[in-house]
Formats: sequence, structure tokens, C-alpha cells
Amino acid sequence: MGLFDKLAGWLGLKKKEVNVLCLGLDNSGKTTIINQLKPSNAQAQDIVPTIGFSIEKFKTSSLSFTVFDMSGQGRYRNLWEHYYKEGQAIIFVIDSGDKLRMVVAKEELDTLLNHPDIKHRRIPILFFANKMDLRDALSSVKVSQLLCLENIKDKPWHICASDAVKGEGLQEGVDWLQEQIALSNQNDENMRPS
Amino acid sequence: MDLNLNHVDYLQVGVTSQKTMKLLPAIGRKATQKVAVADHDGVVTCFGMKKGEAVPVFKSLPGQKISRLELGGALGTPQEKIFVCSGSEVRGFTKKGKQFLSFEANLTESINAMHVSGADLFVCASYIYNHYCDCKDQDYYLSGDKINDIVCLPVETVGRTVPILACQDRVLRVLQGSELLYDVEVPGPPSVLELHNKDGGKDGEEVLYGTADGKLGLIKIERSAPVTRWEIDNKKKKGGVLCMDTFDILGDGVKDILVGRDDGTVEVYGLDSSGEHTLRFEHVLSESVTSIQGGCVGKETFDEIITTTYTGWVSGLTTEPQQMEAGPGEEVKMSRETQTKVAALRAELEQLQVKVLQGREKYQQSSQSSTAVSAVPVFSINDKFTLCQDDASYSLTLEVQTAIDNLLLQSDVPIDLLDVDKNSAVVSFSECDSEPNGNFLLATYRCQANTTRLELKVRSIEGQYGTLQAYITPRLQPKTCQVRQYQIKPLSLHQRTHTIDQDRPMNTLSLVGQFSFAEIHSWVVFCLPEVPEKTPAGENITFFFQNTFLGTQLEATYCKGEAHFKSDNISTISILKDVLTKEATKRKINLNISYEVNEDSVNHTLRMIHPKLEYQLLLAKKVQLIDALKELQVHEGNADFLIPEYRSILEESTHLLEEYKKQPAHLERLYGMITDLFIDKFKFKGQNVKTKVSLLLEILDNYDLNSLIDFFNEA
Repeated sequence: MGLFDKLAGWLGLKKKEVNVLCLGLDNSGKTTIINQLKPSNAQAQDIVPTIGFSIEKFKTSSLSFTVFDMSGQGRYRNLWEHYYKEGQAIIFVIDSGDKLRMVVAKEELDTLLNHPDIKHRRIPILFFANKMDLRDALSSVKVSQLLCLENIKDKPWHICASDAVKGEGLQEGVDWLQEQIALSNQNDENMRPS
Repeated sequence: MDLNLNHVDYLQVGVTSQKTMKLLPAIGRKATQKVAVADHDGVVTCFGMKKGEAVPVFKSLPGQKISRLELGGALGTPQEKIFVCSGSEVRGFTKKGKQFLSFEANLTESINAMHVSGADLFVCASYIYNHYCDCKDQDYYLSGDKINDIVCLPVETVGRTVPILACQDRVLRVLQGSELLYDVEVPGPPSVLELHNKDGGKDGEEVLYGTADGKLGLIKIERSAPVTRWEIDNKKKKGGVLCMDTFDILGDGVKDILVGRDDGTVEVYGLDSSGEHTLRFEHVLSESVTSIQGGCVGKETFDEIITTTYTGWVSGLTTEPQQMEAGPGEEVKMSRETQTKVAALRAELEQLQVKVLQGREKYQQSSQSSTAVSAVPVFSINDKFTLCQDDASYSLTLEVQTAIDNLLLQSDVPIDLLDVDKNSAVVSFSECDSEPNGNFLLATYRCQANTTRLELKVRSIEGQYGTLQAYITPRLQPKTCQVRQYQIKPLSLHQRTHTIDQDRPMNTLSLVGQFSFAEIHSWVVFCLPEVPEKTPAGENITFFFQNTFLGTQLEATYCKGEAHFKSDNISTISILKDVLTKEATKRKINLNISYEVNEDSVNHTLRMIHPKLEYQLLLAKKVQLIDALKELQVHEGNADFLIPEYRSILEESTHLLEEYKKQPAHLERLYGMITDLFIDKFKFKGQNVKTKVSLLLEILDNYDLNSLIDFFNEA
């Protein structure tokens, strides 16, 4: 890192860039969540099922996120693993009204966690128990039980109930993610020989 | 789909009356609504929720106890003017808290029900109904019994003013101007009325009612006659209905019925397309629910049920999920809101503790003074002493605004206290000597922490009358106690009905003498429950009663100087005769008493008792066998060798024991009634048969209906 870049980083002029993977089954609301996090003038009006994947960017107070918004449809799910290496954080979206496919979500999550590119890296995972506005939606605690999140021991994780259409609950989740990334950066810098 | 609602507390105000909380209509689309609530201190509070905090919009100054709160406004505009009534005055506030109306209704009694519709104001005091238009007197009606609630069909859809009064004597009175159009009989004393779907349905004529004994119903008030749509029975013995509302909480497009009861139950009844209703949700609060509303207060787009309890807690049952975030770690994380709440409460508590300590020291010092008087803190008690139809017992419910420490019950008549499952209080019966001081019962209930409501069941004997006293001590400093008195009437197990069966063999008792209509009415009030204290209008009156224990009936007709009582039970007539003579002697009035005994009536009454007695005897017999049979079963390992009759007893043993426990002294009571009947029958003939009672008891021990009837005829 050059002196100027460092200076800019200190002064907060240049934001640090992070790559985030947004995963989840189809129709869980990944694109809607990302869309909702973008500034209001850049938001899309219509959201259609994602084909393959798309790359989106948005900024928070201290970080600039680059999100790989992956398609969750069955035939595209094998694309996910190609991007695992780049990911510095994962957002996993669950449709909390879809009790039937909760097991599918759990299966996909388990394969993700056991992937060699992910298994030994301490990357933060943020879960969104989305569509909490539905009357029959499961609570975030219930979702975390069904997905056996308590078994994740070596990675920091967090689950938030969210309503992506209204944007409720998203900020809390992204705040946590930011905090975790800042934390891991500190650790990285501490470990680097000066 | 099952409904999942989470309980959230919003704000606490003072003690509230029935129907004193409303939601103001939302401004704009889908925004949260404001809550207007009024309490016994006379304060009207209007608040909205912002990020979990109650933000007051306005708060009026304290005054007289507010008994109702209604919303109104010009017809066709949002109904957002707040009307409250206290004493005999009606006040109106705008949604901003500006008082624009203060109207003195000039009634002698205080208003306890009110309805507002445009410029029309309908108010009801205990027996009086008054209609004002632009504060000018329009119509007036004097009801025969206490008015509990009033509602008017919507003028916009019906096109005429149709006020409906809910009266204590189990009727809804439909008025036209100052005249009674017709009355509608309902299965219990109606306590609350509400328009169905808030607008009375398609024709605007549908009215929901809830009764004090927990029943619900829907009635269509048509121009000439009522049509009953449906009724919901109260089989589970839930409390009386205090408030109702219609709101689509299930989100299926049809408005559901929200019900709040005096035992704290909140229910949601869903209506499907064919008009059938099913219970969809039930939640129990620990205090009686005085107001219920459907709407959206806590967070926009999440519908909820807003309730107010007697002690003034405004809380919501919301569809919003409560725990929004979680992470790894064993302990349950508190949300930020909860944490700030805990911290705020802790700080407040510390401050208060210091203040109270200082105050207490000051009080201790000043209490040494010889001239000073220590004032007693006043607390309000919400009590109800009602007759339950199904088990012929009285239920006494007491509710205090703070936790009850203990309750002392004293009675000067023999009564049984029955167990109530809901009660967590510890009972201890003190021994009392009934001879010198007329004490038949002394019982103490020590309550568990935070019990504000206590329910007791009392069973009395007909003919034995007196008072039951309750001494209530709440957990307050300094400790004080309030006494409440309840009359146990001579014919305490009689309940008012609308009609009786005229074909039964009747005994008659006639009184002729120099008494006024008011006097004879006051004697009837003294003898029988559920009779209005006010002397009815007109020359003469007829009341019908039914004995809840035996099913026998009584007809009372009286006017000035003359009274006739008809019953198929000789004991009822005998009790009436004794009590009325005593009352007349007290007032030095000469009474001419004549009676006519129908010989068939005794056999008729015995036949009515027969199934109950037989059931009790059989039950007692079966229960006696249970222990022995159980021992056999344990020894042999199974019960296959037993005869089928015993096997069925073993199978039903838990149920039988439960039944037996539920009806203590039931058999003795029936024996007592038969003995009374026996003595009374011969008393009217002028014979004293007290010596033959032992013989009668012997016959009862080997009970057979025919031999009993024979004995009654022969002796």
C-alpha cells in the first residue's frame, strides 16, 4: 500500500473495498435486499429472477461493498463455488415463510460451510431471515434452530429478521457485518510484520 | 392458519372502566395509530408509539372518574373527536387535545354508557336513557332495569335513529323516539354491545352482544322484529364479556371478532364465508380486560390487538416478531430496546427508593404527633358477586389495582367455599363457634405475589339469608383494609327468566294488606336476586324466576296492597312466607296471608330431584369402591378377572374422583332439601313432623323413589 493510499485510508477519504457473496435459495429475496441497500436514486423498480449472477456495489459509512448477487435457482447453484475464493464475507438469505424448503437451505448451507475454500477461513456470515412481514413467518431464533446455526463454531455469524421490501432489519445486519470486517482487518494488520 | 401474537406493554395509566380506550383513525395511508385512553383519575391520555417509546400527544387534567370514551365527528368525516363522560358531564376533545365541548347533561345519576353519532349524543345513566341533538334534549326513556350499554344503528345506512339498550334483565330494548319499539331476549345479562363490522353489516342492522356470563351473539335488528343470527355458548366457563371489537387480524379479508373478558381472556373468533365462527386465538392476561381494539400502534404494517386492563396497562398483541436478531453464544441476547428499558427502570427505581425512604422517615416522625390524623390510602376494588347457572353457586371475583396480600371472608350464614382451579391463593379455615356470635365461616386467602385478581366460588342454602363480608388487604404501605358486603338472599339460588312452564302443579301464596307498591317491591328485592332496586313503573309487575339447583320455578305478581306468588316447590313458598311475614312484622303492617297447596306438587318436586339424587348416590357408591378395586388390580397385575361393571369403574376412576371432589356435600344438600320439603309440606297442613325426620333419613339411605313418595303421602 502506497503512502498516499494509506493517508487517504486514515483520513477516511478512500473507503476500503470488500467482496461479499450473497447466497440463498431462489425466491428468498437476495436481489431485493441488495437493491434496498443501494442509494435510493440507484434502486431498480422491477426485480426479476437473477440469471447466473450479477455484480452490484454499494457503500456504507466506512466500507464499499462489491456484492456478487448469485442466482439461487437449482441449475445455477453450482456457480456459487467459483466465487468462494474472492468472498470476504457471506450474506445468506433465507425465506422464513418457506418452511418446506428450510431443509434445502440447510443442505446448501452445510455444503457451503464444508467447501475447502470456506472451511478453514474465518469469514463472517450474516443470515437474513427474510420476509418476516408474512403472517406465518418463522422467527429468527426458530430459523437459526432449524438451520442448526449453533453448530458453527469457527466463524462469526449473526442472524437478523428482515423485510427486504420495506428495508427493515437490513441496516442492523450490515452494521454487524461492517463491525466484523473492521475487526478482522485490525487483526490482519496486527499480524503483518511492520 | 394459526395466529401467533406477541405481547408488548406500552404504557400504564390509572384504573380504567369498561370501554375507555379507542384508537384514533390513522392519518395518511398505513401509518401507526394514536391511542386515546381515559382512567378513574379523570385523565384522558393520547399517545403514539415511536421506536418502542410512548410519546404523549396530550394529557388532560385530573378530574372525576371517566366511565366511557367514544370517538365521534361530523358524519362522513374521519371520527377523530374524543368524547368522554364523567359524572353527568360529557366533554369533547379534538385529536390535538383542545377541549371544544363541555356539556352538563343535568342527570341525577352519573352517566355509565354513551354513544356519539354526528351531532347526536345518546347517554345512559343507571335507568335513564337520554338523547340530545346539538346539546338539545330530544328523547327520554326510563328502563325497567339497569342499562349496561347503548349502541345506535348507523344513521347513514339505516336512515333513522335506532338506539338499542342492553339491560341487566336479559333483554335488549330497541327504542323509537321515546318509546319502546320491541325488546329482544338474550341468554344472559348483556354487558356490551357493538355494531358488527363496525358499520352494522350490509344493511347496518347487525349488532353483536356479549353477556356478563360470557356468551356472545349476533342479532339483526330489523324494523319490526329481531332475527338471531348466531350465539356462542360459554361451556368452558370463561369470564363475562367486557369489550368487543371487529377487526381483520387474521388478514383473510373478513373482519374477525375480538373479545375481552373479565378473567383476562382475549379471544379472536374468525368468520368464514358462510358466517360460521371458530375460535382462532386465545391469550390470557392476569387482569380483566376493559377495552379491546384492533389496529396498528407499535410498528406500521404490523396489525395488532390493543387491550387495556383494569389496572390501566395498555398493551398490544402484535403480529410483529419479537426477537429480531441472534448470534452465537449460550445466553439469549437482549435487544437494545430491552436493555435501555431495563436501565431506565433501574435508575427510576433507585430514585424512587431514596424518595420513599425519606418520605417514610418523615411519616414516622409526624405520626408521633398527638394532634395529627393518619389518612388511609384509598384503593379501588372491582368486585362482582354473581350466580352461576350451571352449578348453582355464586362466584365472587375481586380485583384490586395493586397486588392483594390477603383476603378474609366472614359469613353469618352457613355457606360452602368451593375450589377454583385458577386460584393460586392459600386458604385456611379458622374454627368458628356459630352459637354466640353468628359466625358460620371464617376463611383467609393468602395470595401469591402479584395476584391482583381473585375468584372464589360460594354455595349457599336456600332459606338461610344474611351477609357475606370480604376484608381485602392489598400490598400497600401503610397496610390498610377495605370491607365489602354481599347479601345472600333468602331465595339465593333463583335466577330471573323470561317465561315459565304454566302446566306444572303450582302452589300459591297470596298476601293482602296495607302495603304500598314500593314496599312490596323492596321486600321482593330483599328475597330474590336479580330484581332491580328501583320500583318499576306502572301499577303492577310480574317477575319469573327459576331455581338453578332443582329447576323449579316461581312467578311473582304484585301491585299495591296485593301480591301473589306461584311456585311448584313448597319450600320456596314456605321460605317466602316466613321472610315476608318477618318483614311485615318489622314494619308493623297487618298482612292477610292465604295459601293454596297443590298435592301433586310435592310428587312433582320429588321427581325433579330424583335424577340428581340417583346420580349422586351412584357416584358415591362407585367412589367408595375405587380404592378396593385399585388394590385388587395392583395385586393381580390386571383387571381382566373383574366383572365388566367394576372394570368400567376402574377405567373411569380419575373422572369419577374428580366429579366427586367437585360436588362436596352435594348429597347432604339434596337430603336437606328433601327434609325441608317434607317439613314444609306438613307445616302448611298445620302439623309438626320434626320427629319423623329420622325415619325419612333412613328411607333416604336406602333410596327408592316410590317408597319415598309413599312415605311423603302417608306420614
